[in-house]
Amino acid sequence: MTTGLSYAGIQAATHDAISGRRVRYRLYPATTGVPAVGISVVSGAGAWGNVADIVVAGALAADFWVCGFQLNSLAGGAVQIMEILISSTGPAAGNPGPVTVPFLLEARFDLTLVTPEFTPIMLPYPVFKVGGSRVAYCAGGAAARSLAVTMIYALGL
Amino acid sequence: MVTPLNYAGIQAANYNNITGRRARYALIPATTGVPGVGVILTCGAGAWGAAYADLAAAKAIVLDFWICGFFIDTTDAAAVYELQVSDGTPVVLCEHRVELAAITANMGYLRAGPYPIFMVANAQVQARLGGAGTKVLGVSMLYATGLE
Repeated sequence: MTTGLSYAGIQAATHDAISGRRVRYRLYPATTGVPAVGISVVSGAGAWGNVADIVVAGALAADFWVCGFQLNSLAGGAVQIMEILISSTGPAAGNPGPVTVPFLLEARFDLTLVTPEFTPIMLPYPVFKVGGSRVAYCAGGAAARSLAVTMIYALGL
Repeated sequence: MVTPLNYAGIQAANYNNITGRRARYALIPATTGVPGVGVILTCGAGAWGAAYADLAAAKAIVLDFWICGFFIDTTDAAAVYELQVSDGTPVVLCEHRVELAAITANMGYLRAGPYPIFMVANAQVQARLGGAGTKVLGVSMLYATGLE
């Protein structure tokens, strides 16, 4: 249930969030015991690549909070420097970026053979999305490289 | 004691959390001067491993507490894991993907999330492990008491 924007509601939501009440973190795409590789996207060579959906519209029915991301290098640790944009609007999947809309996250990653492990990338504050929202991203890089992204989201804040 | 949802209580709780007043962090399983390996979890090959194992058995932590994160000790290098934590019912509290290679055998603190996860006193916390292959991981939970 979405907490209404009443003073009491904001107080309650803030209290719940900071005190951790009812927070539940999940990965998306959902996994069933096999570590999720995530949604694959290919960066353009010196440009933005095509947009990919992490969460298609309607896939998460309840309100949720985008809390972070986990990355998986599909290139087997090959050197790659990428920049990703994550948004909930913009071009449909399969169409070229950039996503000229407000971003949820813009981040730069410098991945090399000696840094193959990725810890979760947590946002300092969760980003609230109403139920049914889409989450999409695109990547850019000096060369065409593959990266997979899994989203960490929270329910129940 | 849980601060009731009145304005003064919220102010006090937020102030205490942001300033760290009364926050006390501890590891479970508890250690006694020797770095703890943690609870040994084995992942299945392409599936969840053995049933959930206790990170904190019921009644092991007698105060209200907050799950803040996890320390991971790999005894089996070069593996990709999925760590899932539940409250024993089992409702999933959080899950993470962990990718470790031989040259990065040690791993730092894994945050549970932007906010800690509140658990009532005496609550049980369990974990299980998934993976592409059969591997072993030691997991310790970092928790806080006294946030409020």
